[in-house]
Amino acid sequence: MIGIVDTYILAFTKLRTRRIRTILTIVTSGLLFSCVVAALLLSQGVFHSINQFNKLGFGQRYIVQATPTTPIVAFYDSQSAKQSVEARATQLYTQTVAAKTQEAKKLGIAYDSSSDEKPLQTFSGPNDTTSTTLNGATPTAQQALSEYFAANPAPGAQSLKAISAKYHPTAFYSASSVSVGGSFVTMRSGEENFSTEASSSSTTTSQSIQNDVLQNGSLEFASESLVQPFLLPNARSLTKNSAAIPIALPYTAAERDLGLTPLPGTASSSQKLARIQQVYKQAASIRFYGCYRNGTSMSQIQSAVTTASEIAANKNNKNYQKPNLIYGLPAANLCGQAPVASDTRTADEKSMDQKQAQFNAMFGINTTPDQLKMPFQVVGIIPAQQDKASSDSAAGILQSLVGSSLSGNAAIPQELYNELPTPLRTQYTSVLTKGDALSAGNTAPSYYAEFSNATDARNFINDASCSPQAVSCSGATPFVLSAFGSNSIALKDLRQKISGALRYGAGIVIVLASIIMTTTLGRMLADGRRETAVFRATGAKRIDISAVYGLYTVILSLLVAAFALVLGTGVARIVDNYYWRTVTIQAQLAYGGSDPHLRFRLFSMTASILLVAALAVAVGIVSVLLPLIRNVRRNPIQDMRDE
Amino acid sequence: MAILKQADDIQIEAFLQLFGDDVSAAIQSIQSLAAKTHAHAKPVLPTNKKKIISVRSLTKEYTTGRTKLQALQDVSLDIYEGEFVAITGSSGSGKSTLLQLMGGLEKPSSGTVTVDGVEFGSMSDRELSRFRGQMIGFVFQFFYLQPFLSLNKNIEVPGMFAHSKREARMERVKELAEAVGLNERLNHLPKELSGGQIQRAAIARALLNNPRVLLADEPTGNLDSTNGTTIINLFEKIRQQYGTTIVVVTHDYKIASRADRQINLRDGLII
Repeated sequence: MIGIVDTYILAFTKLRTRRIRTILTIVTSGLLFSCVVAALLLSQGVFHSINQFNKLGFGQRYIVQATPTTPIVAFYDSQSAKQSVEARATQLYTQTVAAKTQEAKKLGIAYDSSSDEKPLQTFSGPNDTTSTTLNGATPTAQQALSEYFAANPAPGAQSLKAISAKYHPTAFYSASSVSVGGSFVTMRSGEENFSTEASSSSTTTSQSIQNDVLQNGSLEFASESLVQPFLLPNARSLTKNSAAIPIALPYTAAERDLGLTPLPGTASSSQKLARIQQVYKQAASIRFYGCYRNGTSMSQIQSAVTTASEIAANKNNKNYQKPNLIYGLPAANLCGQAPVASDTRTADEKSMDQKQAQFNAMFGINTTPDQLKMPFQVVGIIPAQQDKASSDSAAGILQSLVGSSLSGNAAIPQELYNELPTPLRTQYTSVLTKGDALSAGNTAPSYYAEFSNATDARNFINDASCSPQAVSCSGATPFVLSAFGSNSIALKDLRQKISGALRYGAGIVIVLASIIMTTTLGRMLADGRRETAVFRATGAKRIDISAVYGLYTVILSLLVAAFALVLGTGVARIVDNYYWRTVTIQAQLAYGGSDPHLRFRLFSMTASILLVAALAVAVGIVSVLLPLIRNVRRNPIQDMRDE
Repeated sequence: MAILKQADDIQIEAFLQLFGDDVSAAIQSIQSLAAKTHAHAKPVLPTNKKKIISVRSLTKEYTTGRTKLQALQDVSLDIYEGEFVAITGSSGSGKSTLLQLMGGLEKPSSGTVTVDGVEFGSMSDRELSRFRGQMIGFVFQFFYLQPFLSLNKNIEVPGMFAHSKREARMERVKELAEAVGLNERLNHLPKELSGGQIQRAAIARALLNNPRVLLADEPTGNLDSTNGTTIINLFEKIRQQYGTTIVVVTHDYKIASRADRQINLRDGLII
């Protein structure tokens, strides 16, 4: 058989014939393969970067959040529960009215039973029908509900452990809302804003109260493991040194507490990134106080504010009579009890008020003011949850893919909190867990199960989740299950889908490239029939001819592969250079900029592109087979004669 | 007059009387007669020459659709070692077909071709290719050099297929280039040469493996008369220098007249 060097010499000359066709083949086939190369490099780059960023958050953890139906929802979904609670509320109302009447008589104070609202409201329906519904605002309805919730708690950690057992969970966590059963506000600049607090009783809650991280439902105790990705590196020492309640603040709250004006919507990504890095850098310096007040303490503050306002308004009104008991405002930085500013009550009035207080206390109405100033130390920043407006944008999609976040609430890492000195912790806990059974009925803790892999987590969600559309969940599916913290599970699926799409794309490219190369090589062989005849006449065997055209095909395919590699790599590089800064900023935003040096590169070199090159060569070889077999079987002299 | 010498059993005098001074017509008649005499039934065997090509009852049919074309009909002939034979005839007479069959490039419909005692029909395609590479050299009317190979590489091509040693090949290329007068042009591409030079290069290529038989199909058909003469002279020189048997298919009476013997074909038959 012809030697390899000679084969190369003859094969190489073929590349020089029909140059335009050869170049067109290299360009068209190379373009097709370059698409695969570019897609491969870019997808590798994206996934590599996602992996890098995922290390910052929950991206490499597979956590499933289990949300039970809150007891109040379960209650409203059960006709029998409603009947039972309504009956109990009615019974309590009757008993309370009777007891109050008797006790008022005993104490010698006035009591009007109509001041106690009935627990059931009656509504007129069509066709002269009537229906009743529980008035949850009434004390007896609330008591009946509290009893019901205590007897029918939401599914808890044990239920989660039981239903997740066969999916091999590795750890369990929980998070529950802090419910103080009173007022709990941040002391901005270390001081209470009494006017704001006073207004919080009105139906329109002020913006500052709404945004307060200490507001009921906005703060939760969470297992440290759930907050861990967002904790500052020195969270533990910060807690220990400050003896304050450790708290991971949502980004916007931290920004506000640092006295930074929120950036306008038109701010550039670079500005956003710079801001977020600034917030992260300064977060450890945020220490603030919260002021807890129970209902009585809050009432006294509100009384002080409104009375002062009334007095000022009636300054020139000679007929205005000041209240007998006037409360003043405590020092703004103390979170203290409202002092009595003026008490002109007679002895009888004081006696009556004392009896009324005694009466109220007997029926569960606490009249003793209680307040506590509690320090908080920021130990973490929770990335802002993506807002709705940006969720459809490319940046929003990226953030949702790579980002990690909690529910958007501030969180007290439970284990860090437990490291506080016992006396302090006892004092704080007494406030932070004051929520009554009723408030517990409105909010149920969330539970979390962690898995070692996406498959187990996904299977658990698919098999054991109650439908999110279900009014209430019970029985074998007591929880609505969802991926928590990040889209790591979806990301894994997405990666598989992209890999699949790449395979399909590669398949299409192979088919198209095969058609192009088969056509080109077929034409090349047809054009070379005379030459084949000459070779045969000069002693070439069929295998020699095959070797020459085979090597020609390999060289052509290698050129296609080289073109594809260069072009694909170039395109991927250009895309990367063009977009990586923007994408890095978006990714940093998603992670709170905790590692400002981390870059989201869209390009990552991978040995897999050599597979694409091998594929191109394989396509060429396969493409030449049929025309070549046909060619060597032909009678070369016949071809020569035909020409 | 070489033809006349070989056709020693022909009554030359009678022909000369018949045609008078019209030598050309006389030669053609003599050629025809001589060919008939040589080709029909029994070839004439030179007393001291070895048969190198032997064709027996050779028939070749081509089928085009439903039409069958009889390119050669029952042709038998012998060619002797060192002979210079011209195959002549009008277009379509089957002379190129005969040459290709003698070179083993085509398979006969019936009959046999034997070269140097080896009958082609008994050989596989591989064996035949090897045999052809070593024993037979081809020269074509249109030269068929590789346009993007330099002359030395073009001449080297048969050596590539014969798997001969590179150094030996290079030596042989130089020797042949010298022989055909192209030693100054070895690094040129074919497009840089004249038609005559290209054909000489093609002849050198055909001779690379030192074949015992050189088959040339209209070697001067694409050349002017000067270059044509040069080629004929070259054939003579080759025969003298290497003892190569030369079979030339030609329309060119100048070549035919220089041949030792002419074989004239008409409608696939030797006449």
